[in-house]
Amino acid sequence: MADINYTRAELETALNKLTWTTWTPTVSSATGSGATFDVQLAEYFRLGDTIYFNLVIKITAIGTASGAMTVTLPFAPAETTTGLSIILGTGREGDLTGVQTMFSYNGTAAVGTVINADSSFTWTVNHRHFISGSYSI
Amino acid sequence: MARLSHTKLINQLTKIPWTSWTPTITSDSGALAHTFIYAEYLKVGKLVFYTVAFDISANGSGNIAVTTPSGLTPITNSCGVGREYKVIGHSISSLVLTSGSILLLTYLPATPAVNGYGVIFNGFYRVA
Repeated sequence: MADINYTRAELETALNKLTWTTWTPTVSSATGSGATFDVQLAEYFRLGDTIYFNLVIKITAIGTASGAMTVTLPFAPAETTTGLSIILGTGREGDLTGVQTMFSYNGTAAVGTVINADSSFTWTVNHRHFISGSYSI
Repeated sequence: MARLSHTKLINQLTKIPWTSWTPTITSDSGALAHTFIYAEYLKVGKLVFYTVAFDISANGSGNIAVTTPSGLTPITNSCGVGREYKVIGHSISSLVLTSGSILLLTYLPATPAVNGYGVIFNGFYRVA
């Protein structure tokens, strides 16, 4: 069987066939209940076994929510060791405070958590969280 | 049937180079001045990776705004991360806007537009 040898243009044309895909995450709070959200963007790009993702989530009600914000992922990460708090991505509350956030994963199910860079998380209506990251599957 | 071995595929992908560009760098207000170090991007289909570094030589205030490469306007928002590497070492968040600007703030948040600071950051975003 002969090997394929693409030109750069052919390779770029082939790669342009890879598409971004949306998914519908379940967003919640680590503790408490009653928080509601407007998920304005949830998309991922798969390149081999690596997932790149973008999220934009606005808090519309807080109920009794406390702790981190949790977001289900489109695929379960390959790393399943619990308790590691793997950093999958980064972000910012982009509308009101500009505070930097971290998106981490503790090895349990396909769920990531959003916390501030100082490990706190502030539940405030109209906070809009922009989050991006990547991980292997 | 033609095939593409793993090694051949890696070799094929190296045909896609990192490309330099010269962004416009401003701040929300003030007379920000900078010394440009580098800005490069790698486009893989509809995914663009970027990495940028510059040193600041006159104060500005608010966000620093860095323009994305011409012809590669983001079509959705995304975030990246960086660091002030010369003075305080604070983490920096980068927020990519569909207007074609990347906004930078420290983690606090505070302005990174300070004379003497060095800024380095990277991330990725979606294009059409």
